[in-house]
Amino acid sequence: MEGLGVAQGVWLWVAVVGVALASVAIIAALTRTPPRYRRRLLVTVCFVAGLFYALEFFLPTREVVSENGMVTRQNFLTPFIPTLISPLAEVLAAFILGLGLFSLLRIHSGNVAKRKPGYYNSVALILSAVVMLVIGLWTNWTESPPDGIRATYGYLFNGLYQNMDAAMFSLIAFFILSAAYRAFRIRSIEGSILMASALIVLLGLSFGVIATQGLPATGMASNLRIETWSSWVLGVVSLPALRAIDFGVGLGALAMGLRIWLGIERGALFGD
Amino acid sequence: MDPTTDKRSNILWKLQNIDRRILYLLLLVVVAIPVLWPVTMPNAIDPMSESLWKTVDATPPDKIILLSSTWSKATRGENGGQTRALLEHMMSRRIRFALSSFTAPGAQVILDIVREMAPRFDYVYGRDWVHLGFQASANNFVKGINADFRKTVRQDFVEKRPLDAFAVMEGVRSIDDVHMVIEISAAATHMVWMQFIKPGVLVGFCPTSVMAPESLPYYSSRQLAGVLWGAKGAYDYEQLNVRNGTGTYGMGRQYMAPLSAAFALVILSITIGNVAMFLSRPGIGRGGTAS
Repeated sequence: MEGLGVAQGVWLWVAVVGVALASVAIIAALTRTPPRYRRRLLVTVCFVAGLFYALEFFLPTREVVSENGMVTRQNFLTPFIPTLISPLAEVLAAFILGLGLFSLLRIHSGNVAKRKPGYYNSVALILSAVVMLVIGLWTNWTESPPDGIRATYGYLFNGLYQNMDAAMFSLIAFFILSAAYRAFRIRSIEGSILMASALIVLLGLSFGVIATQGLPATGMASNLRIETWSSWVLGVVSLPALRAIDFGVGLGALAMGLRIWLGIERGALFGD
Repeated sequence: MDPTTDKRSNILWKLQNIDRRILYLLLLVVVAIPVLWPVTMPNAIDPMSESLWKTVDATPPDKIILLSSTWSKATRGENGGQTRALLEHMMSRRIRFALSSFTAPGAQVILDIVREMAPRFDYVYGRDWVHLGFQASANNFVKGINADFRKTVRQDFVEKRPLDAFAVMEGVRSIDDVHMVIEISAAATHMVWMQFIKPGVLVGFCPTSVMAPESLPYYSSRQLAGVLWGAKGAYDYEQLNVRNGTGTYGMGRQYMAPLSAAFALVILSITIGNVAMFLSRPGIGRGGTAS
């Protein structure tokens, strides 16, 4: 099956502008639709989208040999995944990103225009977003962007953004230490068990091995090594609890998924 | 004397209420010392790491490894070391590989690392490795490559050319031609592979320490072929590389001592707080009740 064609040159721009205009028209039409009908429309689209995956998963499959000799098991819906559904999902993801950017800029432009307290943070955000957007698109648009643009992209993405990201994340270590010191107080038997488990795992993952590295790695004595204790806590004590939580979460997700798919869920998703 | 003043002067009360700025300073010092003066920590290799190493090492010559990079520089201390150790092993064994990512920064960070390491092993883009790029729709990507790489990924990330243009993709049509998928991630993205990948395909997972426990049920059931547990996993893998002549020590060993020092401080501070609280209980020692 042929997939969606990739537009090139002028047609690419025609496609981009056309899709953008169509998107604006659809959003405008949806906004003007009475809530009762809008809800029905959203529920229907959601149901059809979910139905595709449900049918694709549950319908029986048969062996199909492609033109290059590849044998796969599929039903009549499977070929639509790489050719139609996957590109459609990517377009939707890109659209959502654009919508998020638009919403962000709208709110922060308002902050700047009204000189709200801390509006200079909004200025920084808008500037960062616009500069990164322009430089990023420029770098990826052409096969050989100008050296200055490539270098600027490198400074902004690798030099600035990535390192600020790392710096922000590393601050968590300080808060973890402070929080662990204040919160980890033994006030009950449960607290004692939790503390003992945490210490064993921490020691097993780090310097604790120093204390027991003289013990044999096999045989009865190996049971006294800290990493054996750590493995036991993780594999015997923690694992069943994790499985139980996973089952609970899975059942909850299934119930929520069914509610959304069938349009039963209200609130922010399908609220009037 | 004012009871409040008495309480404040009480050493036990002080030990239970150490100013956070002192803790921050202590952490900075204990982490900085082993960074400035590196110390080699002893290590016991985890069976999960060894299992991943053996699975990678058993890659047949006609198959590739798909390396999915879903992390950013925020977790480079853990994921960076894992990535480098894995790549060193794969490159020294001349294993061909494809890169992909479920996040935009993830696609870039692994590209930078491979570009830096490739000349050392004479790895040529297109011949030995290819980058499939950022995949916005994770589940559709996995479902798509189960059946066909070329229909799922129209062009590569670096040269923007169809996958047929690259020698590395010769004979690689679907996930059946991939020996294993390795997800290097700061989040629980192994679930995407667990849920959607074709049954029977080997999956390895390299999470940060905080996410690692979530992968244990899948390793225990052998749905995951191996797991690298944060920075310790990277150190394990480097040790296996050194032991088998497929690599050298790097970030894993470098970061193990600072990590251990930080853990030691956490344990020490918790112990001090608890001992002080215990001693300040009425009837045990002089002092007020625990806060």
